Amino acid sequence: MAEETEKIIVTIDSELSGLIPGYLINRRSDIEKVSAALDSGELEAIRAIGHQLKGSGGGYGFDFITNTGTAIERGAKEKNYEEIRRHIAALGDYLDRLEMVYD
Amino acid sequence: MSILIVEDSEDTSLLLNRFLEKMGYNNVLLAGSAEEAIDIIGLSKKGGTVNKDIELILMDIDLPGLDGIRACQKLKSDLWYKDIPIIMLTAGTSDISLEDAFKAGAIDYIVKPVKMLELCARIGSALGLKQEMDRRKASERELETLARQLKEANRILTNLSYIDGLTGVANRRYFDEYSGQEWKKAFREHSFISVIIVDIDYFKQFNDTDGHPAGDECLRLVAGALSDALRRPGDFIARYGGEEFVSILPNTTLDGAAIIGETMRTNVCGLNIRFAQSKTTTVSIGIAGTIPGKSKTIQWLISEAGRALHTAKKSGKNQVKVF
Repeated sequence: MAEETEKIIVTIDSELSGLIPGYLINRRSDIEKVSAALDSGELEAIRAIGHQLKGSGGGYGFDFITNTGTAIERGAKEKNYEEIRRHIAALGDYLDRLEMVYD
Repeated sequence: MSILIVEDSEDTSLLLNRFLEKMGYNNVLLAGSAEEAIDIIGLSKKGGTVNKDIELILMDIDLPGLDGIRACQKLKSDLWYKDIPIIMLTAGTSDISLEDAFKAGAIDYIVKPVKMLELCARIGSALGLKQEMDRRKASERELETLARQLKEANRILTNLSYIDGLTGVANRRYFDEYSGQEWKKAFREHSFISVIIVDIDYFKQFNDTDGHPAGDECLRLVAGALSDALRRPGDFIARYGGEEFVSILPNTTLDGAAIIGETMRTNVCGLNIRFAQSKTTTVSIGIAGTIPGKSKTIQWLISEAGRALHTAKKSGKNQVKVF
């Protein structure tokens, strides 16, 4: 249990500090969108979100988000709903535990 | 100058904009789709004004609607934008899409997520290359202009060296060159060639009584009247010296040359140039013609025309004599 609440510290370029809150709010929104798309079977919408996560995360300093996006995009292409659910849950957990340090 | 970002992901677009600001590019345009980019650039309407302020485009390959590859092709078909560097952004590294991007005219690509260091290097390289290309094109344009000017100057010099400055018809030098060529041509083709020599009657008296400026004007008017008598492109007239003119008529028999000679004479009479208070300027004309043979030369034909002219003078002037 102690591990689950442990913070994930990510160092971010201070020049990007103004963009980070908005970026993270959008990721919460992505989690909701993917969950809804899973229920309605809209795999193309899921793939597109995964693709955008893959393309944006690392640029802000969140390599985990890029890796998650890659996995979600792949899961959508392979119609692997379980895999998508697992990564969405992991993303939620990552955002919960995330703590930024600006340099 | 500005940079255009074409990216449907707002998060990526904002990030790129921030990176560019940090690199010193403060004039950045954002488009969420290729269609919006084409609108910003000014290519959405035929005949619209093209935005020439954009010096570089960063464009996502995977765009909704018109994708980045087709958008790149469209931009590269524009005369102005064919030279504007386009760097493609891709979240995948599919060889096919990258090959397509280069075929479409992209100069480079960046794999997302974009890192500032890489972006800075790629943009610097693309803009450096463009500046070098612009510099070379400017040099080429300058060289082309100089070559055109040189060609024109040579043309003017050639004309000047072949034209009689006073009358505007060809000079003796040009006649010597041209008559030699036409003689050889007539020899090869076994065709008739005629020469007309024209001399202004009483021209020395004209100058003595009315002065040289009036004499010069007379020469100009006579040259124009003689030129007017020539009808075919190959017919040629030159100032032979003093008040003498000479004409060469390829493919012209003596009968045809006589008609032209008579037209020349009447043209000059028609000018009604008066001198010594009452006299009218006239010309005497000698004509000779032949089919060139081995025993003849152009000089011989000219001297024959000169002999005919002499006869016209001796016979009372203002007439045409044919040998």
